Amino acid sequence: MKTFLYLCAGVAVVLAASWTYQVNYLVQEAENRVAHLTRSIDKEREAIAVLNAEWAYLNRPERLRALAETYYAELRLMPINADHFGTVGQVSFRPENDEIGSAVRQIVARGE
Amino acid sequence: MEIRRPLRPLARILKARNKGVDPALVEAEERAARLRKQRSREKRRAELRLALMAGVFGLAFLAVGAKMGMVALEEPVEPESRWQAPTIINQRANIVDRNGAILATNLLTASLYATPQNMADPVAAVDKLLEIFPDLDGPQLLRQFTGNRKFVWIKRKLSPEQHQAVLDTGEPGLLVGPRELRLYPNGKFAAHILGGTRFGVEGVRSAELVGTAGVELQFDEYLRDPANEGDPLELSIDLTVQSAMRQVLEGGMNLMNAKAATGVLMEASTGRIISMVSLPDFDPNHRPRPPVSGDPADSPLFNRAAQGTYELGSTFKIFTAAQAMETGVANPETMINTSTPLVWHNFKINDFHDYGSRLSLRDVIIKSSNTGAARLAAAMGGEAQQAFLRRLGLMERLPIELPESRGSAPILPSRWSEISTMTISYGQGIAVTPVHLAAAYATMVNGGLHVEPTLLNEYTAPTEEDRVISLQTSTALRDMLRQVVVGEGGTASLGNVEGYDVGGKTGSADKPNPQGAYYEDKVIGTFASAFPMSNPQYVLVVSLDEPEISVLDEARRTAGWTAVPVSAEIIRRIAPLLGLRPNANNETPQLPILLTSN
Repeated sequence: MKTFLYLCAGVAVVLAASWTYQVNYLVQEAENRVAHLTRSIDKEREAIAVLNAEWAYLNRPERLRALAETYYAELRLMPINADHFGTVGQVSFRPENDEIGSAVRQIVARGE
Repeated sequence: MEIRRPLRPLARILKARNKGVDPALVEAEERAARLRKQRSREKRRAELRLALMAGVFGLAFLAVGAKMGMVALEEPVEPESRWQAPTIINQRANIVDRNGAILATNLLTASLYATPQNMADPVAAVDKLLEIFPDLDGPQLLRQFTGNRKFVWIKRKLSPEQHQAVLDTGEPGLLVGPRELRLYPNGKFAAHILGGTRFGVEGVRSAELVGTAGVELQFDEYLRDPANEGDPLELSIDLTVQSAMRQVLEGGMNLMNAKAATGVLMEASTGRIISMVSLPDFDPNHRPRPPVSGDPADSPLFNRAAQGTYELGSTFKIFTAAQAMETGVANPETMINTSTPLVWHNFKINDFHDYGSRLSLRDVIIKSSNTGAARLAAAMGGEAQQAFLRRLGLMERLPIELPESRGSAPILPSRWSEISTMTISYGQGIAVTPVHLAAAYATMVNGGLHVEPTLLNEYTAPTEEDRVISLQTSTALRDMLRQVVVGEGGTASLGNVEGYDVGGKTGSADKPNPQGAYYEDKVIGTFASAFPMSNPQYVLVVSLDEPEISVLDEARRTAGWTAVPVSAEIIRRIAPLLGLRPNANNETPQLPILLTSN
């Protein structure tokens, strides 16, 4: 009986040891993957920061103003002033016989 | 197994009987021998156990000792945080405007250093470096490379092209390390607000970025604190408005032949500064060194909006009028003696024109009569004036978030005599910053609540406890300020902007000269305005230093000819950017059809 218990304990130790060994390596692998991902996240962040900085630099008001002046003929951009405000009355109504509108009306009529 | 020996062995008993010895003795002897044997066995076992224990403990101590030795001998390694996401994003947080546009950010570049002991050919290295960087000192570099030094900094910041060129030299003694750089993508824009940075402790792998001025210095700790996880610092500045204001102000400064110019745009109800420009300015990417000679107040580094204190002239008359109306001494229709000159002992106060013997308080403001304001202030007394100005925040240093403004305490008369009271009523003899003036004007027009000027987007709204003047007084003041622009004989008739109901007060203060008197022909022209006057939302203070234009062959220096038209142009440009509809307070409400602001 005693011998059997010793044997069982021995087997249990071997099993536990091999399981631990396996888990240990799995964890190490996972950690490596985390470290790798962290590094690539950092790199992406850095790249985003650089792109943001570049975007801010390219959109600096001084440059946009110069570009608006250079391409005035095509874009007709000018500093906004009080005349550029309009009223609701100035917005033209939707045209009467637009395609989508008439299609919708037809469907509504058929439904009745 | 040991064969058990009986206590009475037959052979010994028989032998003893033959000899006539008592066999019990034999038994006793045998018993004693057996006991001796057992004892020695037990002793051996106990000794073995002790040895075993000693061995186990010895091994344990040995293990602990060995681990300690290993820890002591090993190179220390920073423990990796395994369950935490990386939190440090930037070495220094960004600064953004109220809409989140970047005003200051970091960029990863490279720095160049040399380790002379690893150099293959110092002479060739110096030649190649001089080709890439013509500004380096060749002979000195060669001395450093051939001397005893083991480490030499060459360049703090490299552009990517320079970086590649250095690598192409193939010199093993020239090394490149990563370096974060503070970038202000908008250049000169808002230079005085942002300030600048420098490198602190420098290492090969990185360098500390330390704020040297402006909000970079004021919020240095916040910007460097990793606990904020890269949250940017949000300013109350609006990028587009600031840019438009700077452009118009620069044009105005050149047109009016002024030496310098300042513009401050503030939200009337909160004290948040939307735009603050001080010209001449500088590029914070290449912050110049402070001047070693000349007046520091003439340096581009000097912030004229929040650091420099100036006598701002007749813009102060509105405070005299406010005080008079608030204390019930006068109402807008009260007639005031304006006969000129006003002689007080050996001091004479003149008006720009002779306005006759009497003007109503409203006309004193509209036509800007010095004698009227002086007589009114004298009647109310110096102490009441001080108390009123103190409540407007005009007696203390600016509570704004800029280290430069720590020295911006207003310059007050050393003895507040009766003549001081009279001159201060029209803004001579007291010097404050343009931001002081903007905050005080905000109180005048926003319904009477004191506001604290701030550069941060966060603010605490003023409450009834901050009330300085009543709503009634504020309403009367709005009407007066509007009349200065549109009324007959008003000093700011060039300030009207179609649709935006501008109101304001001009001030043309004589500049003090170093002898303690005033220059005859040098003024500071200021226009403190608010718009739209029916419900003022914004306060604009524009100040030009020594402006002079010639109109019809006559030199004009007063604010009405200089600061006022510049202000009008600024309002014309920025009011639509602020999303303000022209005549927004008409009886017929109109809805916007387009997104017209940013």
